Formats: sequence, C-alpha cells, structure tokens
Amino acid sequence: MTENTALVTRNGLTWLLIAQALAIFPLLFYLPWWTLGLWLGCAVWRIQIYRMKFNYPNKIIKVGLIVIIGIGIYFTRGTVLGLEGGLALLVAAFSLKLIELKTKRDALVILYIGFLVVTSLYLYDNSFAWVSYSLLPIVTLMAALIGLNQIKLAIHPLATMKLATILLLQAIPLMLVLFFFFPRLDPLWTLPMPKKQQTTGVSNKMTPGEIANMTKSSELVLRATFTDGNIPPRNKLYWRALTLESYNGRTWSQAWDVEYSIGREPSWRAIPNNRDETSYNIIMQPSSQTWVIALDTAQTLPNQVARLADFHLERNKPIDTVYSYQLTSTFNALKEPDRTPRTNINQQLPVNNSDPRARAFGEELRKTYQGNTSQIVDALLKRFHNEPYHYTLNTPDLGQNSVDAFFFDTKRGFCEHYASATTFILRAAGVPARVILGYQGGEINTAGNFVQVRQFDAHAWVEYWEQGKGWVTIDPTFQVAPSRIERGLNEALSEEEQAQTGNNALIGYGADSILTKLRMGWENFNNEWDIFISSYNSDQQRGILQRLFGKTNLTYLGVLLVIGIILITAIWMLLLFKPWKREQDPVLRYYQQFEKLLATHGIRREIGEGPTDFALRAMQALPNYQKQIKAFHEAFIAQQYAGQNSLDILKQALKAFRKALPWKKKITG
Amino acid sequence: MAIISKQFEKWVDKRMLVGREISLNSKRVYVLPTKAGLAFILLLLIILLVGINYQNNLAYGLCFLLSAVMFLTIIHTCRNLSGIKLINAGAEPVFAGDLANFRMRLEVTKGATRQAIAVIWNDSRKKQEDNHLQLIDIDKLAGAEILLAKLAKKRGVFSPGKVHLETQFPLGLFVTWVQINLLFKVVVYPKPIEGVISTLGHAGKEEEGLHAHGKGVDDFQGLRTYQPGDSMRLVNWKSFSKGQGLFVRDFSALAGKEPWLDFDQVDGSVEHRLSVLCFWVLKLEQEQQPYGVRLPGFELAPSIGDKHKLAALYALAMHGVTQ
Repeated sequence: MTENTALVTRNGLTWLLIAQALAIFPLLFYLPWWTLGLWLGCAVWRIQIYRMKFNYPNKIIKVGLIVIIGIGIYFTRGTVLGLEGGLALLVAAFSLKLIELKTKRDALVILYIGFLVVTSLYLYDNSFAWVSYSLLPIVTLMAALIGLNQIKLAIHPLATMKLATILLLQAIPLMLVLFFFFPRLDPLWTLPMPKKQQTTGVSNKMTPGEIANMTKSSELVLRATFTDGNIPPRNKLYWRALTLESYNGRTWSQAWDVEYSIGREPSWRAIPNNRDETSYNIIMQPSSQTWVIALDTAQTLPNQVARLADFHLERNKPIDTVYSYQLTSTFNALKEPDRTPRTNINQQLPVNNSDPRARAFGEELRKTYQGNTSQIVDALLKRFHNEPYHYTLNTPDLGQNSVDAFFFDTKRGFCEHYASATTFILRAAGVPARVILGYQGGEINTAGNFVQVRQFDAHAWVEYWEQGKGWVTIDPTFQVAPSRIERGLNEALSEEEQAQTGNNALIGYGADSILTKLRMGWENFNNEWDIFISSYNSDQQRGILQRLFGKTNLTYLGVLLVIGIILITAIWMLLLFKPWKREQDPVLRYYQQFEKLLATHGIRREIGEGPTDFALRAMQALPNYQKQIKAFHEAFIAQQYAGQNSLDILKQALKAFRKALPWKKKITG
Repeated sequence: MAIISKQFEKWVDKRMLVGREISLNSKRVYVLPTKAGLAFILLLLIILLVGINYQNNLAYGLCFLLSAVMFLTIIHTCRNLSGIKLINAGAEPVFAGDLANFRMRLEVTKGATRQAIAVIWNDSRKKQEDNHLQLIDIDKLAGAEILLAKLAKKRGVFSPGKVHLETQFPLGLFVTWVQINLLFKVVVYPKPIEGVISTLGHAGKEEEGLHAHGKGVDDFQGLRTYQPGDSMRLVNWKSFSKGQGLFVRDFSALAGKEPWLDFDQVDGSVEHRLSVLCFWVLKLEQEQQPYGVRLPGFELAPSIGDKHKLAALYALAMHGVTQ
C-alpha cells in the first residue's frame, strides 16, 4: 500500500537539503566544526549523484566513513557516549544518510532524524528567539515530507512550502490545547543533561578575583516579578544563593556537613511586630546547579526545595531548564538566636597561622570592646569607611597572606575582598561570621516592572552572629562604595573599568533612549515567554484547573483535553470539507468563470436568461470579441447538451477568450 | 487473520460504489496509517520522552505540534480523495492476448486540485511491488484522464473489475483508499492465428491463391456508381483517373466467387477456428479483398471496409457469448 521504495522526488530532495542546513547550522555552537564540513561534503556528493556525475558509495567507503567519524567524535568530544557524543553521532547519521539516499524510505529516515536534531537543540536553548528560529527547519522538514509524496512532475518548490506552512498553521490551535492541558509527568528516568558552557556564574567556592571576573558576563541569572508590583528598594535586594563557612587561607567554600542537613530546618522566625515582607515570582535560568536563589529570608518554600542548616535553599535536582517558583520573603527574621553547632563552625580560622596581622587586629578589637559583638562589627565597618579603601576591579597580586595584604597594605579590592576580610577579622575577634554569596540589586525592567539580575550583579557579603539577635547581615562593600548597592555595579566603577567589563554595550544607554526601551520590551517579552511557555509546569496546570473548576483534580485535565480536541477537529472538518458547498459540475464551473469574465466588463446574465440569449447579447455588447464568445458558447452547448465529452475544448475556448480580453477594463459603451 | 481479512473484503465489496460515473464523498473512503505513519508515531513518542525526561516544554511543544499536524492530515488525506468524480470513458476493442486500455476521467467536483492520487486495478495491487503506482494530479478545472491497461486474455466481453484509488497526500502518514467498479467493459476479438481455410487453400501458400484471386478482383469490371457511404477503398480509381466518373466495385453482383470465411471450413476447436477466421479477416482487409463471414447461426454478406471489418470481428468475438 505504501510506496516507500519509490525514488526520491526532486521537490523532496530540494527541501530536504535546505532543512538539513537549517537544522545543523545552530548546532555549530555546540558541536565540533567538522560536522558542518561532513554535511557539506555529503550534500555536494548527493547533488552530484542527482546530476549523475558521482556514484553511490560502496560498502567499504561507508564503513570507513563511519569509523573515521567515530574516531573524530572521540577525539574532539572525548567520548562517544553521553549527550554531546550522542548528538554528534545523530548529526553524523543525519549527514551520512544523504549519500545513500535513494528511495523514499531513506529520505524519511533523514527527515525523522531531522526532527530529533531540532528537539535536541531545545535542550540547549529555550529562548523565544531560538524557538522562533527552529520553526524554519521544522517547516522545511515538513515541506520535504510533502515533496516526497508529490508526483514526480511537481516541480514548484514554493507551492510545496506554502502547503507546509498552511499545515503547520492549521495545527496550532490543536497544539495549544495539547500544550496547556496535556499532563506534565515526572521524568521516567534520569538522563545526562547537556553541559552548559559554564562561562561564569556563582560557584560553591570563592577565591579572590572570581567575582570580579563575573562582571564581564551580562548573562541573565533570574527575573523576579513582585506580586503587588512594588519592587523593594535596591539596598534590600540581596539575592542569596550560597553560604560559605569554611576557609582554608585562600578559598571560601561550603562547610562539608551542610549537605547532610536536609530535612533539619534551622530554627528561625519572622519578627512578628515588624512584618516587612514581599511576595514574588522568580524565573531562574538554567544553572546546572541545585541551589535556589531567594531574597533573605524565604518564608514559604517551593516544592522539592529545602532550607539547609546554613540557610541556603536547595532543590532536589539541578536546575537544567528554566525554573519558575513563587516565594514570600521577610526582611526581618530572627535566625538562630541561640548558640548552635553552626556558630562554632563559623568561628574557625585556618590552623596554619596565615594572615597574622589580621588575626592580631581581630584579637585587639575583642579586647578593646570586651567581646561586645555590635561594637566590634561597628568598629570594623567604620574602619572601611574612614580609611582610604578603594572599590575596584583591578586588585594587585596579594600573595600568600591575602587578607593581610588587602586589609593593611593595598586597601584596593572588590566585594569578595571586603567580605573575606570582614569575616576573617570577625572570626579572629571571636564573632561567628560567614560569607554569603549571591547577587545584589539588578535592573528594573520598566516595560514589565520586574527585576532582572545578571551575572555582573554577583556579590559577596557577610553574616555575623550575636547572642539573642541571631544572624545579622552586613555589607562591608556598602561602606566603601555605597553607589554599588544603591545604583548598581556600573555606577560604582570608573569609566575605564566599565569599559573593561564590556557591559556598557548592554546597559550603557540612558533610560529614555529608544534602544533601552526596545531592549526592555524585548526582555519583558522573554520574561512572559519563560513564565508561560518555558517554565510551564504541573503547578500552573493546577492553577488553571483551580480557576476553571475550583478543583485541581487531574482528571479535569483529561476532560479539557478531549473536549478541546473534539471541538477543534470538528471545526477543521467543517472548514476543510465545506459541506454547505454543493458539488459542482466542471462544465458549469467553466461557465461561471465565463460569466465572471463578462461581468467584469459589465455584462451580467439576467435571471432566467438562457445561455444562447446571453451569448448573443454579449456578442452585441463586445463586438470585438464575437469570435471568442461564440467559440465558447458553442463548446458549452456541445458539452452540456450534445453530450460531447471533451472539456479541453471548453477550457481552450475560455482561455482564448480570457487572453483576448484586456485585463479588467470596462470596454462597453 | 485470513478470515478477518476475507470478511473485511466482503464488507468493502458490499459498500463498494458501482456505476459508470461515481462521485466520491468522504463517507466511502477508508483511512489507515501507513508504515511511515507508524514510524512517525514512534518519532512522536521519542520526542515526548525527551520532553518528559528533560522536563523540556519546547520538546513537549514540538511533539504536540507534530501530533496535531499528523492528526489533521487524516482530514487532509480524506479530503484529497473525496469530492471527485470518476467517469468510465470507454475502451477500444482489442485482440485476445493484448493489453486493453480503459480510459478513465477524473474530475474535481468540489474544492482545489487534487495531488498524488494512485489509481490501480484492485487485483493487481498485491502483485505489484508497490512501487509502480501510477500517481496523478487532478486539475481543479481540466480534470485528468488516464489509461488503465489490463491484459485481455480471453475472447468475448472482458470486464477488468474493481479499480483501487488511494492517496497518501500530503504527508504520507495516512493512506485513504476506496474501491470502485466503473463497469468497465471491452469487446475482445479472438487472437489472430495463421491457419487453413479449406476453400481458400493452405495458409502457408495462400500468397499464390490470393494473388490469383487478387488479380481477379483487379480485373473485375462489375462497377456501379458511387453512393455516399461507400467505402473509399472500393472506389475504382482507374476509371476515376480516366475521367469516367466515380465508380465503386460491386461484389454483390458476383455472388459465389468472393471468399467466404466459413467456420465449418476450419479445423480444430471453436476458439482455434475463430482465431483463424480472425486472422483471415485482418489479412483480407489488408489485401483489400472482399470477404463474407459465415458462423453457425450468423452470416455476414461479403464486403470490405472498416465497418465490415468491425462487424466481422464483433461477430467473431461474440460467437457463443451470452451477454
């Protein structure tokens, strides 16, 4: 019944090659460059076969090519397994199949692989821009599929493309119903995720110079939309990601025991008579990490997210796709007012006696203020304020005792130096303290009234502990460069340093410039896209059900799905079959065209006027075209009443008449 | 399975459209997924799995988009085969053992040009390796006309049977098909076989006899004036060129002398005899010699010309055939 062994049609081959090019092109960001060369080679080979200049490859050549490609992938990717290796193999198969493309079945294999290649790209990029682009290979693959099923004489590739476009457009309503009402399932098994090319981003360690490096990236971290539309002041926007409690003299890192504290919430409460809280939704971009970013201190936690002993939030699986979550945070929380094992951990200093001057300075502070924590902290922060400390990206080499060198000698540093030194000295003074890593501030998108946080907003600050007050947040950077906190990174940097980060191109224009407005609009659109499409999940499905039925029972989803499908199908059946339209005799159809032609010149058949009378009247009205009208009329009479079975004569007569007439010009009178 | 498929065939037969003109609507067509369609479903499942396991909404989206397209192609494929009219446009008689060409007109009665419709005899569908289906487009205005060839094995009236139409357009994921009976019929003349008619002499040496006879005709003087309707082959051009007027040779005047192709004068089985007679009809027509045909219960007076030949061949074809 099928004819899969038929040879591939020209229309099919044309669109197939274009579809491949479109599908492979964006993969070049993720795959070795030679995959493009491989495809190009195969495409040229196949075209030459079509032109009968080359032959199909024999078995030896085919096996040889496969071995070479396997080796190639191994050497450029290090493995033929995993997602990257698998994708490279998929693309290689996608290309190689070209040169043995003979029959319709071969072409089908290529097209189906093509759809998989497009799917694999969604694993790397979920943005609206990429999804829009991906429609190009999809519609082209569809056109190729249609081309394969056309007769060999069909040689108008654009008509095929038009049909493919129409098919896809018609499918959209049904797709939307399926998209929104098809239940979202949990993963059936775990799979290797695509490795994001980790350019920058907060990691669970902090070494001097690391955050300064991140200022070069304008990559989006998260967008936060505040429920009541009131965005808190910038100096409250401390987006907490991680807590670093362990210091080895150079690098701050997470304490080893934190990951075992899942399920044991640290004790804390919001201060009841001063409820300073805010609700917001965060769209977090994929980070491949498990920590969840929130304003301190998150009161309600999203599903599958836990608060660990050091107050950072962690999800039970890495954030590999755009992640949307709803939070309420309070700015006034009493965290662990009583001494716990954590306070002891946060008093430890490296045992190697590094940074002796800083240790001595801490000891001195303790003695001076007799262990009064608040006074010690104040004194330290005042020192940052009063001494000639400098906020800068370019820090000199600090050597072994980096805290000493920074704090006493160079006095030039970035937020990480201030946070590190403050924590170190507080610990030396006997005050439990720790480094908090995250993002500060962000840009307010005026088009959508949300905050967007980028990598260059990365920041480090400090929490210290005091009996009865619990953990208190301080930001030594604020003492040195208040503009960093109040107006953002670029404001705090010198012009030279702004140029160094390269972020001026993005945010360097005035708030009123058209470019800024356009950018804001685009980012706002992307935010909506991420909320409604990329991060759409079962929670949102339940939300819809709640609004429609007042219940979140998933069977309602099935009901909606079935009703939607039936309704849309019925509509399309009606629109496509047009049962209200009567079937028509082709002869009468020609006659109607004839009438239409005459009508454009003002001659209309009256009701009840027979074809002969009408033809005579037309001939009188258009004496120059008597011959053509007569010819058509005679052919029509012969066809209709004498039962002559040749529509061609009728068609020719109509064509001749149409050709003779000037285009839509009234020539009567 | 065999029983089910037989039952299915019966059911299809019962619902089959019969007539010299058949209009197809969506009710009589059958839809089934093709192998490519089944593979496409597998592809959809893979994409869905990617969506589920990577929690990727765009993979979900692509899966749903392609599912919707596939689902809608059912309607498109059905529509491609409905709203068309199939007309039996007749066939020219053939000799047994030749291919009979049946003309079939296809017209669009509703909607746009139909693409890639396969037309094939129902019974040769299974034998063919599926890859030589004749695909045609039916133009919205001009329609299409095709010749369906089938071997006419036996003398008599040949009915080739059911025609199978199918289409996989546009995506090849579903096939819709319909079986119709356009009541195709064609007269099949006996297969011409060289042989002996005793009154004419042996076929092998018939050249001589014929030539002698031919001279006789040439010398024949029995002429009558031309009347409209007379075969141009019988016109005596010799006298015409001499300016004596238009005369035709008159054979009726010479009863008994012209060759009779007599059934009883041939040996062998009935079919063999008819075949030999058929051979002689063609032979004598070619030689432009008048002849009569005599079959049991049938006699065709001697004459010559296309009309005469067709009458003779028809008589041979229909001999003993109950219609």
